[in-house]
Amino acid sequence: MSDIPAPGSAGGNLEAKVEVTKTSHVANVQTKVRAITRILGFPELYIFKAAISASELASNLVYHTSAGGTISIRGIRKNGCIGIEIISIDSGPGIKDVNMALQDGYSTGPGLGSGLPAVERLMDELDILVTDDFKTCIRSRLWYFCE
Amino acid sequence: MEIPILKLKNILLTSIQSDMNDDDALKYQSDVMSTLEKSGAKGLVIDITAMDIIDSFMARVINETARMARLMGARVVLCGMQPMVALTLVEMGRELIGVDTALNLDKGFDKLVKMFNEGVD
Repeated sequence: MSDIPAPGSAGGNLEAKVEVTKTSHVANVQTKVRAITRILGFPELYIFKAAISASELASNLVYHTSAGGTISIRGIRKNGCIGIEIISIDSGPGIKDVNMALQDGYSTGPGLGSGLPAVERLMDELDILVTDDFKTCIRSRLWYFCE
Repeated sequence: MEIPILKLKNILLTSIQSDMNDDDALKYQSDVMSTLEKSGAKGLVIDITAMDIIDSFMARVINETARMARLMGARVVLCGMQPMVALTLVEMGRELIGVDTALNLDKGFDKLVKMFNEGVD
């Protein structure tokens, strides 16, 4: 497992950044996540969990932001676990009520209101940060015990 | 992206894939509805064998299409769900798919025919 970088270090093809402004970009995000989790040796179910989560975050960028955003994906490692980190960053208009956004069935857009709740359940960690200037940063991580 | 809509007896068969965007979904739905109208088909089978990922967007497309078809008087069955899709759908949350399902195309057709015969919705 020495080829997997520690969090923060550059990781070659274990890192990807995808601009998301329209629905067709969502598939790119999925492809990147699947490629990286496959290199990391994730089991199939974990690959799909990560890919769906990334796809929900990317869809949110399309439907809920004014100018789209970026999804960054990278392989990470901590205490004998490998993981994937998916970070979504956009520049507004931000999430008004984070607790509401995590409720099933709540949506301010055309969706089912299942995106963020699904990500919360599929991934091990989910952190949502809305800054004072209405930018949103969402970080989610999925861990796989490899040792 | 053109999604073929096949007619077999009085049942329409469509097979959808993951790489669908908003416009594709809209076109697919209007194609299915106009084919339903023209052909007078009584049933619709939505086959998802080729989908290995269903996110909430695709779940919405499937549910919407089924609801539209029901409004047009057709019965709808979803078939060919991959094991991984079922696993992740359940983990994702509450009832994301509100459509009758069948294991495969074969059983999907049987189910529709049975619905026609029994006259249940």
